[in-house]
Amino acid sequence: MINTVCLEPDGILTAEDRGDAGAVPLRLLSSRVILTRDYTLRSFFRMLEAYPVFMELNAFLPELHRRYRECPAGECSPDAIDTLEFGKTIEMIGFPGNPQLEIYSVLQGVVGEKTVEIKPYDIGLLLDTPVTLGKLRHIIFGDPADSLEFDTVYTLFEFIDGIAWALSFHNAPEQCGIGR
Amino acid sequence: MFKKILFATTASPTCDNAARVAFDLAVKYEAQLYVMHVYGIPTRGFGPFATDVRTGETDDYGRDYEAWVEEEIRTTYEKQLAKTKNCVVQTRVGVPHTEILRAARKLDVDLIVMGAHSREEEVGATRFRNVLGDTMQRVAQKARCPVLIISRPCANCFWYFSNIVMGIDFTKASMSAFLFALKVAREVGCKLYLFHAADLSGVHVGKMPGQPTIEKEIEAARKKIEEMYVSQMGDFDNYEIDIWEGVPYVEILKYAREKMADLIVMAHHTRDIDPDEALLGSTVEQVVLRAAAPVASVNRPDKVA
Repeated sequence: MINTVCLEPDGILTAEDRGDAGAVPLRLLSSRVILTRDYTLRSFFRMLEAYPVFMELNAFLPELHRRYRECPAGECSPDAIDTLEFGKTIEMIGFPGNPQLEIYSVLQGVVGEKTVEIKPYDIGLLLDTPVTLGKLRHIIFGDPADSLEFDTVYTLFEFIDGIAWALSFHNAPEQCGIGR
Repeated sequence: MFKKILFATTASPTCDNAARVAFDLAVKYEAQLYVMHVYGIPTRGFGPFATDVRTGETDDYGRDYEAWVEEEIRTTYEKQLAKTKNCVVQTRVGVPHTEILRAARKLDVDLIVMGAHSREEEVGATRFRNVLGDTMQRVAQKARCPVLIISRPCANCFWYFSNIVMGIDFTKASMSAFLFALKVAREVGCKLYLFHAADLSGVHVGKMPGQPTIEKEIEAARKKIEEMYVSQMGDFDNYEIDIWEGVPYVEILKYAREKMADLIVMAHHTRDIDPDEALLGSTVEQVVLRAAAPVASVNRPDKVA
């Protein structure tokens, strides 16, 4: 069985089968991620603070972390989103262009049984929203209506890099220039 | 400032943000607006069928079909059309980028406004695909006028905008972009931020130069900006120069956010190559994807001064 790493709400990684997590966190990047209960987006940033070497995995992480530091210490959760779900999509594309297969990660909001886009929300509004791991979605020939879902696993690298990429789109200015 | 504007649209929700800016611009500058939609590739040139560029299906096309498409576009933009005096809706059959470029050339437009791509992408997928649609890429590559790319909602930027960020990379195309940015800043009377991101990572991955080298590079870049760009500004003094070191697209996005930029102007590509050969640089693509403000991509010296 693949090695697992448990991500705690306070940002600490625990790897029962690997005693060297604190000393060499990079060795855990290929481990399967398990999220503990009460894991939130804030826990993700706490992990970056506990293991600063992860900040180098994605060019956007230092800036995202800086913005995280400016956010309130609690109660950052929009009423409109129940949880944030990290998932993976495999998409077969047949037309236009040459046939291709793409695999990418997705971070989306979940409300009841529906998924919602989280781009419009600033990071500060999402920090205390619980994060969960979703299923692998297989889209067949570019038609999102025709898809299958499978249980899957995520590595720590996929998790960190995927969240960094998704959050890098949350770039709306804090205030608009209108009326100035 | 803009006398003729071409708004190329798929008339789908993905172009709504671009539509808002295009119509606002036309109203503000009392410009002639051409709303253009290209549908289907004609089979064998003069055949009675057109292949839908999205689905690959074959449709009959003729006057009835054309009238129906035009009616659809008028319905989509009903509210905006009611407020815009000089607006022409055009439909064409053909390869989208070819028809858009042909129309831009024939109509001698000052600006093309487009959405970044023709389908809604999940943000994860954008990493693997052409971030900007093929049509957008090809139009930006060949267009003689600046191309305004709108990928995010932008509330009335061109009505009230007060901060332009110009991403400088010292190429020929960058000079054209600068002239466009200066022209807009003068006309609107807003502040122009001349920004250069010094990418000092070099070719040796992970090997960063020391602080003295970074400071020297930044000083050299500042001097170059003053010599190349500031010297051309004449009496325009509402500007600021900033140079940050780091990954260019990350730094431009950070800077634009800090300065609450309403418009980002960038050269089409980051190296001095033939404009006809130049694909949109990855820096521009990454910025277009994430910037809250519209991004003007400028590739040539025409229509900028």
